[in-house]
Amino acid sequence: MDKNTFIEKIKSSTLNEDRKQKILTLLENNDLDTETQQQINDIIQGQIEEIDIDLTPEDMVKLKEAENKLEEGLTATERELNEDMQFVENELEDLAKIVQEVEVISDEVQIEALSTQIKES
Amino acid sequence: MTQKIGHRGPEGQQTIIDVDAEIISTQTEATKEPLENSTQEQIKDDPFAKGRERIAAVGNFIKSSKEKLGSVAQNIGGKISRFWTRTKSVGAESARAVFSAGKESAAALLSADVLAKKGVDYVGGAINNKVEQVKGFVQGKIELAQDVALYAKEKTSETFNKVKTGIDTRYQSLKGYGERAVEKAKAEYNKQKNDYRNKVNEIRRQRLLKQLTEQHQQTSASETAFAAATEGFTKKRKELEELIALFNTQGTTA
Repeated sequence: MDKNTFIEKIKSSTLNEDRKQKILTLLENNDLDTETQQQINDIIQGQIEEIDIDLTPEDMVKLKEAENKLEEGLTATERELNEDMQFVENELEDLAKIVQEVEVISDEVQIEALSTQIKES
Repeated sequence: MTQKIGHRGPEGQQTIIDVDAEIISTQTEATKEPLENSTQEQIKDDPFAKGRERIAAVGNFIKSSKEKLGSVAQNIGGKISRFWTRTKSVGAESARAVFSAGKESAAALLSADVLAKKGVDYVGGAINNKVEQVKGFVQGKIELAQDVALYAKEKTSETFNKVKTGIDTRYQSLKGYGERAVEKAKAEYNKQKNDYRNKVNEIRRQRLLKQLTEQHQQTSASETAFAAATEGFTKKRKELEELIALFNTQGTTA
């Protein structure tokens, strides 16, 4: 579905006006890429969640299972990203130390070069 | 009735563009009137609260990680860039210095043992962290350390340029690795979020479907009862009309 067809579909949907406007603004300023689709998804989900449906204890058990699975997945994602970020930050900081060391060596080179120049002149 | 919102398409893609917002309207209308005779225990707590809170927290964590990575990378990238600017002429100076000091004295700066130790020192604690994934980085770090040591030993423009290339490559690789890690986390996060929402939406859809079925049954029963009552009233009305007509006729003929 192209962007214009999608815009028409949103306009004729029963989403409330505020949400429709938010989606249309998003579409005006962005391509219909994954990021934008995700944001639209969030807006629509907001309206779905506002609908009051009485759940039973049986539903709550299923909901808890879904919640646990979400928690498990998000925790793993969080942990992995944290490790990756820590790794990259440490390595970049170490790289800065290496650069600093190279700076010292280069300073030595320049001092030696200047010293040679002075002696020659 | 099908709920398309948040469901996955045949290719695993979000079918957000297939949104059939009619379901929202149907659900809203259907839930305006609570079931009169529902005997099930009703739970009024917001069933999305905990999931929503966790989703928001991890979303913020990913966002802040991306910002922090950008900030750290920019800071170190700036340092590297300033250093290259300052040492633009180091190639020529290296050559002069080496010529002046003589290779022997420069070589004496670092022994083979020091060179080897330097590589190990640089690697440090990184080895224990995600060994497989960082193996390439560890090896690259050892090689860069050796190149730095060689530059310190020989002080030539060739060894300097090798270090320069090594530092630039390593900087770009680490930055790229961090950016990919953020993108990967974001993709996983979106998948988990969508899976969770799809599951919860499905639980709610099923419950709504049951409620609608119950309402339909109640309405049908009421409709049948009203139809029976209406039939009785119609019969009674007709009887009364016949009696009224009869007495009217008798009055006229008397």
